[in-house]
Amino acid sequence: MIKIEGLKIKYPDGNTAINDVTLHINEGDTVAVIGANGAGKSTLLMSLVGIVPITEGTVMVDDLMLEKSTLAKIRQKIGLVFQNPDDQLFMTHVYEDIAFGPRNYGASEAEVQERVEKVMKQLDIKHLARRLPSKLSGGEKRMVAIAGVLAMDPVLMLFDEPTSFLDPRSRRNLLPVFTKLPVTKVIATHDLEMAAAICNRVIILQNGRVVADGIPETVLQNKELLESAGL
Amino acid sequence: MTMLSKATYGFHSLEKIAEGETIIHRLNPLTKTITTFLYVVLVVSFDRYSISGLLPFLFYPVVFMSLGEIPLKPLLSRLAIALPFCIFAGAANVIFDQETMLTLLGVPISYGLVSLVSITLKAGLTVIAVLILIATTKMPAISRQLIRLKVPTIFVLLISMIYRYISVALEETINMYMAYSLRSPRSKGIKIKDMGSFVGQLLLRSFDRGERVYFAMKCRGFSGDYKYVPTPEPPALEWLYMISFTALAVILRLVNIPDLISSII
Amino acid sequence: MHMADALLSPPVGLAIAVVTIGAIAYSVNKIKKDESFDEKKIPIMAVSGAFIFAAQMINFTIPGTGSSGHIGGGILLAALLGPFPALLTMAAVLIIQCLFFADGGLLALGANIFNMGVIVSFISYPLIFKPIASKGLSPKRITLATIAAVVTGLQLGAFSVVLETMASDITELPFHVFLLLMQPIHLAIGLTEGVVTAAVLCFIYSMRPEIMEGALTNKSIESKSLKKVIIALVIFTILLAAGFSLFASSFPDGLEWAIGNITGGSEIEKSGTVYNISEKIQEMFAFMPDYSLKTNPEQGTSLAGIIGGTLTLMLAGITGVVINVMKKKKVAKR
Repeated sequence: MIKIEGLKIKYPDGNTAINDVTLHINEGDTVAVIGANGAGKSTLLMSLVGIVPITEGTVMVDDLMLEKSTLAKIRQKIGLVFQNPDDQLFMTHVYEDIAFGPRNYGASEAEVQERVEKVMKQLDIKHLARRLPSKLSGGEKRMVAIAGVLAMDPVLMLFDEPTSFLDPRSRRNLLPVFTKLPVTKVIATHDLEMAAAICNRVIILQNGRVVADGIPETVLQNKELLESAGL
Repeated sequence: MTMLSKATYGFHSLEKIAEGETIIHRLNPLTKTITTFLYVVLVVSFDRYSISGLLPFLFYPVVFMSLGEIPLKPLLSRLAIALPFCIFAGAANVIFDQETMLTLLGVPISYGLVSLVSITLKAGLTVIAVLILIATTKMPAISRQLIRLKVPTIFVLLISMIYRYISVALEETINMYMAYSLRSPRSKGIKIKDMGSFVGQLLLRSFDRGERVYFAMKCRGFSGDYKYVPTPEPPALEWLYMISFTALAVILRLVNIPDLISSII
Repeated sequence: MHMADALLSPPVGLAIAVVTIGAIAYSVNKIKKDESFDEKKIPIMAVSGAFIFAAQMINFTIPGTGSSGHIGGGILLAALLGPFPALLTMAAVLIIQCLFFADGGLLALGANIFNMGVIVSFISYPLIFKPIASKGLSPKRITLATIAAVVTGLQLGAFSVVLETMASDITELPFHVFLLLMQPIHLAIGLTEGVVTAAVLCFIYSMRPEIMEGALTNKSIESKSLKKVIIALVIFTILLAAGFSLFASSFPDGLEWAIGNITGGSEIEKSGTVYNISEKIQEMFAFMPDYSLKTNPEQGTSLAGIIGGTLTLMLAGITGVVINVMKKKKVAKR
């Protein structure tokens, strides 16, 4: 599904965030990308939707090469849920926010309504439709953010630290939501427990490189590896 | 900094009221905009010594606040904000316009005093009218109504996003202020020399957040323009309502009812 | 400086609203045509606009006076976003303040946006801030440019308020007294606001210089369009002045009375210079239709009129009570 070859990302200030990453993500995977702060997790995710420009290397999404002309199409296929929901919920009502994506891609109002209601039902947030985002709890905001991305009907969803800003209960409630999402998932996280619970594959990033890639049992039991990676 | 917390509280409570479902809430936004605007223009068009002519216009706030189930508290706080300057302007009139206009029960009332009352009355009525409009119309409806009025999308988007982020901005400002005051116990407010970094820091954070919001918007297909759905046309019944409202209001403006009543007596 | 509706007459309010709408439409157009305008700016305008709204409520203490001040934000926005985005942002903030916070009236929106947005974006930024700052950004330059621009902007804004109020003929305050009250106060406000705004801009420049540089290099107003702006402003002033009356005749009376009361005697000698100035101002407005101080009140001022008024009030009160009682009955039935 996603083929990343020799990816290098260098920021204008000279910092090399991603240093030669080659990775294939298969359909149906639930991948955890773990690493210390600054390891490059967020950068990797953001590069897949074209927010961060690529210095070297290629990214192929199915048979589409990631470049300026294909960005719009790729963003329809890949959805990114940001770390801070307040960055993502920018409309005045929850309904309007979830409808933002479908509307931008030209759906008719009837289609928009159908999609939004389907997604709200899926995530059990119908009761939040007329609420103002700023008044929601952390967990509710997270759900609405996910809903907004899900409404675009992506095939792959990226999550940047989804359990941050959440209290323990909301975090527990989030896990089954993930497992029920019928999309391929890549989750950047510090939450090793969550990685073990719901992911079928764990990748460790260290200084912009992949230092481990395997099933949770193997990777997460390897204490030396985790320590050297700063975890 | 009580102003900041008051603002936050008032803002949220107003939103709650706007979620109501009374008959006024269900009116088309265009209807409400037109009637409010007409009302404000007519009230303000009275000359500066009118009092009795303005009194029938009290029916509008009384009726609509009752029908719309709008509580009195937000009204009072809004009046508290709007009235002081009007009273100042009116007070100037009391000073400068001392010629006696009429004698009430043996007490001479000056032109200036009459105009003070008139201005205060006008101020109160116009503030109430705007409150009624806002308290019965939800924000997305306001945005869509603006689109219908051919306001450019970029401007409407701007208004709705500022509305959305006001509580975030207020909260961040309050937090930073609390952190500041914990480390400077004696000063009330912020020292001028610290304002640069205080406000500057918050502004820079706004810029960073704005950038992140932009990326979030791009990821969901934003391309500079946004397809708002304009509000539907008001139904025929509401057009009838608007016409009757206008007729009644204009009649009340031109004919002084209280005088009519007293001449009949 | 937010004006309430009660201070404006409909013709004045509407006339200036037309000018403001024109300025906003012009700005939107300019932004659309500007290639260097990054659509990224829109959410930045929004979030910083929301912040300016909050910032207006931050009290800073003015040393030595024991009083506090606030910043307005016009020049701040213009220096960081560019004049046209700044106008849109300021306008949006003022609209929200008017609607949701009762700060400024509905009819007065046009005037408020003009006084606090258009004047900044079309006059004090391009004519004062930009020329000084374009010569090279440094803390000294920024401070100088900011203070000059803020003071000018506030003076013009205050003057604008005076003109608008006078033209609306609501207050008895004589023109020059009003001016004497407004201008010095706003000079003081302008200086403190200018100093604080300068501090903020210097801070931002030291941390992220590219923001202010970006806003400056924007080809905002060139001299051709500047002429258009000035012409529009002149037309607006004439419209206001020509359409509505100022109490030209009562000028000397008001002045003498004021001076007489303040100084306790007829100081005709002392008032000579002031008298001459007021005469000159009077001459300026002399082409306007004559205004008589006491328009015939339309309403009856007799006791009977007051009875009629009271009856109306009672009727209104009863209506309110009836509606509320009926509503409560409805709720009880459910």
